[in-house]
Amino acid sequence: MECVVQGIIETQHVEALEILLQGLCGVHKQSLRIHELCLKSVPNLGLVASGIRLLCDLEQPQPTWTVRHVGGPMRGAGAERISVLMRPMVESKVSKNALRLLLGYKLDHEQLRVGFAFHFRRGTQITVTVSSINKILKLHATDEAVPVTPGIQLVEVTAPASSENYAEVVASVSSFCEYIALLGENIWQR
Amino acid sequence: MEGVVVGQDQQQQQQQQQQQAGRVMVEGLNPAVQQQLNLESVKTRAVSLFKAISRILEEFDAIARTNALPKWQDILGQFSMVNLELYNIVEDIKKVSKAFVVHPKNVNAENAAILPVMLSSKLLPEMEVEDNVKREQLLHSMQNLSVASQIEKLKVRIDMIGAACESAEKVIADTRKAYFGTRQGPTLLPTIDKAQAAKIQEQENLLRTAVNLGEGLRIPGDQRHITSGLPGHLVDVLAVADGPQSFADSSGTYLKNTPPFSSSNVNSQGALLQVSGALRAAASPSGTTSFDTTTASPLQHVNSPRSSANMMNTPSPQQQTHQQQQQQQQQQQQQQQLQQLQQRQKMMQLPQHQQQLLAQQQLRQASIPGLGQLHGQPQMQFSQPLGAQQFQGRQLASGALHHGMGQSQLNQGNQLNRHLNQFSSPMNTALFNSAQSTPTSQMISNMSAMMPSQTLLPRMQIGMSGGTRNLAAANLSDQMFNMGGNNPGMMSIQQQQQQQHGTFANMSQNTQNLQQGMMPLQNTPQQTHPSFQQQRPQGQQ
Repeated sequence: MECVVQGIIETQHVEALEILLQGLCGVHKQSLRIHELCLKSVPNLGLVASGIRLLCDLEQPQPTWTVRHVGGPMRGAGAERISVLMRPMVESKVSKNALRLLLGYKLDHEQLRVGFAFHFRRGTQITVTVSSINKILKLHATDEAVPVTPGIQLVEVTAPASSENYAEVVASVSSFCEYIALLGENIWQR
Repeated sequence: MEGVVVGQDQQQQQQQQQQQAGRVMVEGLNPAVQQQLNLESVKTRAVSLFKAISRILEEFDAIARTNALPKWQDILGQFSMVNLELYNIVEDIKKVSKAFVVHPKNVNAENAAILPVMLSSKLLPEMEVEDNVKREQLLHSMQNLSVASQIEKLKVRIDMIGAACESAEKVIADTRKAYFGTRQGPTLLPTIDKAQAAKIQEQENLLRTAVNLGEGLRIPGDQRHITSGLPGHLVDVLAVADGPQSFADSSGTYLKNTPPFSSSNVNSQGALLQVSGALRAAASPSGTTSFDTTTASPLQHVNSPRSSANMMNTPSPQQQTHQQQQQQQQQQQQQQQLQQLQQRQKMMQLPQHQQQLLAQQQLRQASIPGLGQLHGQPQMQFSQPLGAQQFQGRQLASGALHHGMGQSQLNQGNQLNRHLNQFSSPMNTALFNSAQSTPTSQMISNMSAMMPSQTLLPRMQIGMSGGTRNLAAANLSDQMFNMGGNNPGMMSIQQQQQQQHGTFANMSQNTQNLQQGMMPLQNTPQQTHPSFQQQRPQGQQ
């Protein structure tokens, strides 16, 4: 499971946010350039439609691949009380042949995520990602990607959690988000 | 012991002073300290204390050697004197040497050995390395400057950091006050008007749906072709895609990388086949293979019963190589094959004796086309080789029939054809004529079998010519029973049979259907066999 808070920030403020986050987190930023391929299962295969994401990290000298499955958000009385989004997430590193081996899945859409991220510990492992989402106009042409919304970038605060300890994770993520919310000019939503 | 240590320390210090007298840096004691300390007197006292202790030790040795009883009171008195003297020395030293002299409080046998290491002010080796590294980092840019300027710069740095921290804390405090004071909630947008806020909201929704759901990022199907070069990380991943099973929503996207099929005209159809084969994989794993074989076979075996469909469609398949026709044929063959499979499966499910009965009927029908079936049980579509052997004799006859009769409307299904009576006698005569014209052994026997007034012998030959048909012999008795009658009687029987079973009608129907397509094959399994009979003459033509 993971705990997620998503927000947006205007592109003009991204630099300031970066400095802010560096101070808050105490670590240096890591550049991010990820090619996300979102695959959906073909119809009539399995009981329900499912989707998985293949992430290719292009920042490394050798591209590394990750497969990730994200489930629906946690709902119910417990979910109403907390101010963050909890959802099941499973992630695994794979080889580059994963694309070929995913029979029964077809490409739904793909995007390129460019930005930076901070990984640090504040009670629990938290990752803050500030990135611009780019759409890829021609199939797989990652070099010619344009931002979906040029003036706005996405800020995501995520922390892994399990069903036992999610209360603490939620608390630390919420408190961290408060800092950012107060110090920056961005809008937060669940 | 303490006095000895202190004494030695002082001696070392004095020695150092003397040794380093010639150096630039003098590691001597501060003159004021020296005065206060009065080193000389301390040294004298330490030496006297040392002598007193050594005297006591000698006395103990002497007592131990002579094994005499020690005089404990005297010895205790000497110990107390030594103790007092040591205490006085330490007191004097304590006053002045807190900064640079460390003396242990409690020395006993355990820690006497390790005390010098612990009292040492030198760092452990790894601690020293760390210290040096950090110092290096800090002073890296300033090594060329003097110490004073280095100190200055460090001070400036420290001040800057301090100022930043203070301002940050101030900002936090102010906004917290504002937050709690005005109770506006976490959104703090006093300077953005509504229009801008609306625009931002709209953009935000766009971004969110794009990230989470992929709205606005999907490329329409017709544009999903790899036109430009692939990026580096996808080059070797997508270069060799394995057939239509790779992820593609249109068959064209990745299929062009697949290994080519055997013939170009089969390419698209091959894809279709494989797709349909993939879809049917769960149902019948062998289904795809059977499709594959059928696509390859029709052109190879012109005279085989499998190509009967083609021959029905195109009188000269060798001449016509039209793609569409072939595709149609292949598709029809696929359907036919499917039907055959289904029927075979049905046949498998029947008990054995019924299978034999059916085989008998099929034999019977083969041997007596003119008489039709005596038992009106539904005729299964028997295996191809079985039929092949049996209608070799029919071919010319059916060809003659074809010429002899005009084409009436196709009556599909098991409908009776009343006009069969009209055809029966001319049919027989036509058969007889054609049989006489082409005297093959099989033909003759078969032709003779069609004659209602034949003797027993040709009928026997019918059974034998059919191949290994022991059953035929058993059937002949029945056949003879029906054939024994006169022609009119025969006809009446046949008519009765027609009324009961429409299979005899199929014969004539199929004679009319020589030019028909695959319809009879598909609709009535009963018609397939007679239709096979009629195809051969066309092939020979």
